[in-house]
Amino acid sequence: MEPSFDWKRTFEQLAPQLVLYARQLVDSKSDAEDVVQMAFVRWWRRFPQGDNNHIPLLYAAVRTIALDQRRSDTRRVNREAKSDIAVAGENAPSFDPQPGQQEIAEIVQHALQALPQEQREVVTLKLWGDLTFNEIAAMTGESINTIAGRYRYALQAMQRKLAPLKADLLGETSTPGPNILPFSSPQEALP
Amino acid sequence: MNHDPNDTHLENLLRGLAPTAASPALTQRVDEELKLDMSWIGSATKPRRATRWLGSATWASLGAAAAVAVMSFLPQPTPNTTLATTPAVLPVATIREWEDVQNDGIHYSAERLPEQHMTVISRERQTWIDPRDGAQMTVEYPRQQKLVLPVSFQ
Repeated sequence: MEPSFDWKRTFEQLAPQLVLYARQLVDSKSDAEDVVQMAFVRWWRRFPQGDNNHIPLLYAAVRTIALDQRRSDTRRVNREAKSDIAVAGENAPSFDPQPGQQEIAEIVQHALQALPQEQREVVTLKLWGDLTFNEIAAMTGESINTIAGRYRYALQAMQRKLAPLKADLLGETSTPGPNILPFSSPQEALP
Repeated sequence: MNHDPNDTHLENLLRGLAPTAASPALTQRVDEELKLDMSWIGSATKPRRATRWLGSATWASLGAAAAVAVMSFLPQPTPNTTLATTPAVLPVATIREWEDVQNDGIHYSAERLPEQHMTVISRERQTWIDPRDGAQMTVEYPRQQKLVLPVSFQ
């Protein structure tokens, strides 16, 4: 029973987003990679064809394993034991910016870290995991309105974080006009 | 659901940032784990169905003890030796929980040496995973052991 599909191709496509998502749920990059390893292997055993329709289940597996890991005392002890690695991985960049995106990548990473975990989770799944609100709601057990609201709040918060820094990015220091930012002030209305 | 052009602009900005690629070490670990799966599957000559037997009987009772004894002597359709040489499942955990220890007192052996007799009652739980489909099998059964410990009197 040889696998008829190349898992590596699937893994290379999905792993960056999975690790990014796992990092929103656990303390360090090394823990996030442990979670992704377990989740992907488990998912591939179940769906060796790598069907795209089952990708939300892969994210769900990442979530379940990450939450289990957080609860586990054993994992906590392990994390403390390898604290040097964990601390080193903590500051590892979450994004791989193209030329010219370096500063914005750092700002976005900090803005993302400043969000409450529930919002961080939703915005990561939506923007980089490319999941729908329905899929995220099913995965987290929340209503779609709750998920949409979290996403909206997260975007507003990130917009607030990014807006003042955007002027620096563009080299503008004095009285920025209304068109200086690529996006304007956040809207307060929620869906 | 989100049609605000400002939000769309921000979303596009954020989506334009690619997450960091997975480390080569992570890919290597996944590779090793999946290869291990394939080696088990390749070496397995016959699929083995999961036998799930969760004992709920009271281990302390004679009935449970008798059931365990009988089951241990039941003929196995697939001998354990086949499983040992061509494993289709991977043992992942063996847990033994001590539930009671009874002091049966001091007895004297044939050589008239004192021995402390103890009875240890425990429950053993073994878990396997089938790498082909991730199915997990757990077998739980009671154990009762008689221990004889040497005793020295002061």
